[in-house]
Amino acid sequence: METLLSKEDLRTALSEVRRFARGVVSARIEGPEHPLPRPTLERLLSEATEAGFVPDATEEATGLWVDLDDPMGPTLSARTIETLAAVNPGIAWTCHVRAMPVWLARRLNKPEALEEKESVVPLQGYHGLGRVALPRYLAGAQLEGDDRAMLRDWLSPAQPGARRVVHAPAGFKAVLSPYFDGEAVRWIRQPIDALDPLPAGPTLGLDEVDAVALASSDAGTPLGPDDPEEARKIFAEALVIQSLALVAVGIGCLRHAHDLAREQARSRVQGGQRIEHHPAVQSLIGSADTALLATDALLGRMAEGPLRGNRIGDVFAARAEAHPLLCRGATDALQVFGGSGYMQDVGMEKALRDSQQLRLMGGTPGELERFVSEWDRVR
Amino acid sequence: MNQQPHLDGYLSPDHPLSPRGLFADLPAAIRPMVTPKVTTVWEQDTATLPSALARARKRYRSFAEQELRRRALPIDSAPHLEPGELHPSLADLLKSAGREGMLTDLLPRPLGSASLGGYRHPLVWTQALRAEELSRVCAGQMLLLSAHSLGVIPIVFAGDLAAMRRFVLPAYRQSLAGDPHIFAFAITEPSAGSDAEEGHGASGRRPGTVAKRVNGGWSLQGRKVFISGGDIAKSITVFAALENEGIESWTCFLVTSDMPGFEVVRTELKMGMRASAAAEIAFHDVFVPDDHVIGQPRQGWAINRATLNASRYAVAGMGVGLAQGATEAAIDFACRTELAGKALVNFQEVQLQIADMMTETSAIRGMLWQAARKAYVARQDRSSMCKFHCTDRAVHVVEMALELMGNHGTLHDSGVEKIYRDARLTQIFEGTNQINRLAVIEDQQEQLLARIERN
Repeated sequence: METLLSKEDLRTALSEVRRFARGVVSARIEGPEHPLPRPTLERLLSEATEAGFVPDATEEATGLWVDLDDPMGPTLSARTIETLAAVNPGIAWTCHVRAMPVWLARRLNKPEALEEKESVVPLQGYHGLGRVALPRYLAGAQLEGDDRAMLRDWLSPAQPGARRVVHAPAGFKAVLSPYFDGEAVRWIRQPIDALDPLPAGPTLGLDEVDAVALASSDAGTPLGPDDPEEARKIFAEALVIQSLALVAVGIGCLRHAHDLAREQARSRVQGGQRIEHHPAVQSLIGSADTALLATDALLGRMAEGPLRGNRIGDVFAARAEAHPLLCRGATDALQVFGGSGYMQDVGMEKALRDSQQLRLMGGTPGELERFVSEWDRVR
Repeated sequence: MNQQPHLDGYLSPDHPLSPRGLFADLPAAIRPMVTPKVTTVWEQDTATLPSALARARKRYRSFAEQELRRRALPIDSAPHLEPGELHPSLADLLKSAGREGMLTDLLPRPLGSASLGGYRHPLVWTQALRAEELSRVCAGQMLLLSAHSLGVIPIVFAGDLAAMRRFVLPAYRQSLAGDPHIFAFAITEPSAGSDAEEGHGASGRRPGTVAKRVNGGWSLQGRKVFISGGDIAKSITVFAALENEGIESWTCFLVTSDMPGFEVVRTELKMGMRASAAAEIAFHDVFVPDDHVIGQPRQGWAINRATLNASRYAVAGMGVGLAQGATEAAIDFACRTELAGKALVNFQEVQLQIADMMTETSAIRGMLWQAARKAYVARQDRSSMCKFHCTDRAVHVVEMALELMGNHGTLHDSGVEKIYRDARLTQIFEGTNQINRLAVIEDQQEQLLARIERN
């Protein structure tokens, strides 16, 4: 694969993102205790699109998840998200959510999938990660016993009242949903009204993003693909992209928390000396430091090379390792602040809530580990 | 061969290989030794308590279910109120808690509402049981009802009977009549959190709240922060240094909210435990008469440390209750949520998670009860060990519950995301868990020094 993006290009692109994050995004945030009002969030998204960080439906659009055949493409997108998340994880996640339908429509070669400008791609099944059925399906192994029923129910739950939860800014008009038809995971464009969307109330973290609970429905326009092998690849790629985004947001979030904790340790005096000299505080900050270092390396590994769905085992393994580290780093960084860390205006508790929420979205570490075990067994 | 219902991967209780049936065939003399009654863990644990405490535990659970359960989620997501304002639902809770004796059960009858039978056992054990049962349902409301007792403990530990008669008894009578009189405990200052909870740090610190001698009493100047219930308290035990002296001069003053110069500056927007406000309070030359000094001048540091040694058992109890609440919520979720036509509880990985949560919770409860059972003297090392270990493990249990519920756990309605936010505070207040680790060593200092000398 020819490398179109050089390391220098990557550095230049990311410094532009950094300028945008620190100059434009940061200026709109009143404080961690005040989630961005919806109009402000929309304005920021428009500006991010104009700046070329979030793609729109046009063919020449650039930004997140666009150049994924380029070996540096996944890295550029993941690091863009990380950079935005260091200022505000909710905005970073929203940019990813907006970019996903564009990636999918292009990947399916179905521009009409974007007929409704505001769509989302919900990759979270009803509960967990489809147990062993998902790795078997994605590895191309023989589906056994209840695997088909599991995959179908995971993506389109049959239990009365069961709803899938989507974490995205409310107000989207259509959903590009994966569904299992007994042979492959294919895609369908569903108008939001067909899914009886219910606001699912406040969530643990990502205050800028809403939680919407969607009912199961088969109504909609099929988007394919017809070829079952292609369908398998596309679904795996979508899950890889989502994993990159979740870890990238988590790292940005921890970087912010770490910097705040370091600053607090530098300025706060207790027991007659700055607390950065207390071994207890050094351990806490060291924990955040090592978590950052380790997860940064994991993200580097996850984003290596062009996007390939068959790397999902490695990617899930890295994610399973990354999120507990990110949560540990965030909670230890908060602890440096003592009581004030628990207060919303400081920003540490938001970082911790965001980290915990990211751990639970798109498969938890335990579910990812069980996926990896079965993936490894059947391949 | 299975006849009765059973979970996937298990034999039904009436299966020929099930221990339940097999034990019934053993000799009559042996049977009682190997055949436990089928009961819940809660029933098993309650049965191990002395009867007075078992009764108290049942009463706390019943109160929590009746009064706290319905308020827990709505209060958590209610808008933040201005200082001094109280949500009407919480005002009702305080009234009914007062009438039920839940604001006066620190002391036995006739002084308070605790049973004399319960008082035969260490007070910290009863308080830990109470914190556990209330926190299991809503830690925020628990804090609202219990920070009040923390404000009374310094008066008890000062051994100041005159102060008890003058301040505590009328307030208790008021509360029992349905007009809650709330106390608060004020040690933390803007420039120092943990310094107020640890001697070495305190020794190098310049106190921020200072009492100046004036005619007939003292004039208080300064600020206290993160005071639980400080916004609604009518009486506050405030610790202040004497003018031009260090923290060794700390003195406990009973300040009432109607004293001129007392101000509730603000209440914090907190991560959790939102039913109880954390207030910043200010003293602008507040005149405190001599008869409002609790104990003797310069006894404040001792009273503070004794209070924390007692209250840390209760914080450990909060941890146990939060872990129990999260475990129950996760079990409930696993039993009602189906995947491919099966309740999640049928899946082995879910069973493993539930078993871990139950066991971790049981282990910290065992640690706490073991320490509290003989805590007629509240030892610093034991109370701190219980505080930091029970709360650290509790947060871990809550994380496991979130993990079991996956992305459903992120939703407010799940209840567990609230428990997580509530639980995180228990690792911070009453001394961060780092400070509590150091407190264990401080209490072991003589033994450690002796070992150095021996070597």
